[in-house]
Amino acid sequence: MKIQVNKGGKKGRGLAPYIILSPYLLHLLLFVLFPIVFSVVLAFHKWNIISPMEYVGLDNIQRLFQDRLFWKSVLNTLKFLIVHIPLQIVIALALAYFLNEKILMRGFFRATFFLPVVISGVVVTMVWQQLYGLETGLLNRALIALHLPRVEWLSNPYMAMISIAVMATWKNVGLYVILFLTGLQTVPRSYYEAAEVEGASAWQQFRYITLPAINPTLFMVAVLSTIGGFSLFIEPYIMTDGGPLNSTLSAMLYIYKQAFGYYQMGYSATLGLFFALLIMSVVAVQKLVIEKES
Amino acid sequence: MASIRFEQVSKRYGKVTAVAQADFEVKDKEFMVLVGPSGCGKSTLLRMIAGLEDISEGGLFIGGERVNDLPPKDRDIAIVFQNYALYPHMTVYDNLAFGLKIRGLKKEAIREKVLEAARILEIEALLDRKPKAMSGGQLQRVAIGRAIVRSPKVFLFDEPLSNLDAKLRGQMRLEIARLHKKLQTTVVYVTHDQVEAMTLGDRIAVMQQGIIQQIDTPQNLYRRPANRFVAGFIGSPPMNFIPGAINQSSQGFVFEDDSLTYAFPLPASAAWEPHTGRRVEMGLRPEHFSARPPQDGLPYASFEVEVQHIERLGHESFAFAQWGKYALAARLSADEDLEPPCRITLWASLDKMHFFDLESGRAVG
Ligand SMILES: Nc1ncnc2c1ncn2[C@@H]1O[C@H](COP(=O)(O)OP(=O)(O)O)[C@@H](O)[C@H]1O
Ligand SMILES: [Mg+2]
Repeated sequence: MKIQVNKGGKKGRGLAPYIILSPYLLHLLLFVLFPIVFSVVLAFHKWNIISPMEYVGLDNIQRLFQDRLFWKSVLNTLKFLIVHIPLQIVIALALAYFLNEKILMRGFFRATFFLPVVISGVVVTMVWQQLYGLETGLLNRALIALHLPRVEWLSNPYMAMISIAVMATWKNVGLYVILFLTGLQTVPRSYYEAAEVEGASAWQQFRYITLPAINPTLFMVAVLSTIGGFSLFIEPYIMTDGGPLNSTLSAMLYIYKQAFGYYQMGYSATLGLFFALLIMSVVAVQKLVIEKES
Repeated sequence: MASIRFEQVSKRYGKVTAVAQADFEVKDKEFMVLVGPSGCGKSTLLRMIAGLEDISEGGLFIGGERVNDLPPKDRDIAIVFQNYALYPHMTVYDNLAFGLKIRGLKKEAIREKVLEAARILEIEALLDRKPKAMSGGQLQRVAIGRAIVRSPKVFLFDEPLSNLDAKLRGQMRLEIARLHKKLQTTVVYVTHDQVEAMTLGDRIAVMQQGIIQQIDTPQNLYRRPANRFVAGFIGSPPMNFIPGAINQSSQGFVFEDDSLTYAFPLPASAAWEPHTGRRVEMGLRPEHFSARPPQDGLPYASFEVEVQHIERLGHESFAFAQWGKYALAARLSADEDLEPPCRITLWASLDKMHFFDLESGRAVG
């Protein structure tokens, strides 16, 4: 028997789909495809915006591998991720867990935790800069009031990136709370009731029922926050400008500085492409792990 | 010993009373079915036994011990849910072993118990499978397996068969009955399906709007329904009802229908006396009609009806007919050859008639 496949009726639709899609296609062309192609071209050139481009072959790539500061910025970004991602996942999951219970003013809390997500990153960073202030910051004043030593939140090179990671977690956690809440709500009540009758404690119910059930959400959150974390920029840009001692110089911030601080457009493009490849390979590994798990 | 005793147990959700003053006992090893229409409070009653719902009022006793404040795990009960509630990420083996593992049993002891339960339910071949890869009937068996593996004192079932197709439902019904005979455990079984209730229950509690209407054996519920609700709920197609009044005539007590067109003599009894002049409904089951006059010599009544529709089931037929202004259903033997519409006479013994007070619904006579 022959099976007829409907090819979507190509005939007769004409240009209509393309016209409807055109605003998006235009955007894609101007702001996604063109920059990618242009940065590939740039990667083989030297260009300071003002003078004409100069072809330099693989010089930029060679320079990248010898650029210690770039590798430090990559390492800084990884440090940030190591603090940020677990913190984000644990806090988001804990909040989601409690917001899923029948607690007072649940709707209010759900909205409140989401609020920082929609506030501008610049505003959030400026507020936290005040909180982290060495002498007058709210945190240190609280510590002093409790007769504890104050903390150099942003001026200690070991502390600064951790402080930024905490702030970034505060800012983004609401989004992941929502994702986890959605995951939690797909678990039928009767699973927990059956477990309760069997004698499982709250922790055992979480460990053996909730956690496996929200596994897909867990991985989605991990991937999203990895991608988000790699693009760390606004926070160190505003708070520390990469200092002290380049300890908060994230890869994105370094790439930005190469372009708009030193006008090394070609080199900056090279770094950008390389970093994009790095992110893609990390996400590809995560994807492999997810597919293996499920 | 695992009897379950309700002493004036009520459950309220805010203003809604889900269960009102339940007061009865499920005997040790008894198979008790709670039946009633959706929303009547069956699940709530069951979940109070499990400890999944708090008791608003009254006392609940399992094996003589008051359990109102005992957490579910300490009540030594197992519950089978309508959606089975099997954990999708665990194999059947792990699902069965879960409760034992939680309770800290040794690996070998767990294995022994799981295999035993699997053997009883004939699901040994499924032990390595995950729930996703199983049919409804298999899931049902596994869910029951998880309940029996701990050998609890009491089994609770909440509409366990309602996700199965009719044929499988029939099979599983038999299986559950067989299992009860074998395990000799107290069972409380919730269903909205009266066939399940009648076939499974040692006794049946019929519920409506949070109130238990009658508790009795299937036979007695059928023969002597305590009120109009129970009479209409048990039996399919449901009992026919004809409104009228009990009056006294020169021949003794009679039932006269509202239009005063018909009057049936009632069996001579003093029991009618207090109901004389009161509005009642006469109830008569479809299966108590016959297309021929009864040959047993008992007094009977006849109904000239207009048959409008016939459902032929092969071994029997149901006639849907008009009698004056009342619609009647009657079961007829399969060899009655009728071509509706047609006029026939239906016959019924007087002693098959039930009477219910119109106001209170209570059975009279
Ligand atoms: N958690 C709850 N909150 C409020 N009302 C409830 C709750 N659970 C059940 N009810 C109400 O109690 C009544 C009985 O419900 P239920 O026991 O589930 O009925 P059944 O199992 O007989 O269908 C219904 O009116 C239902 O709406
Ligand atoms: Mg129910």
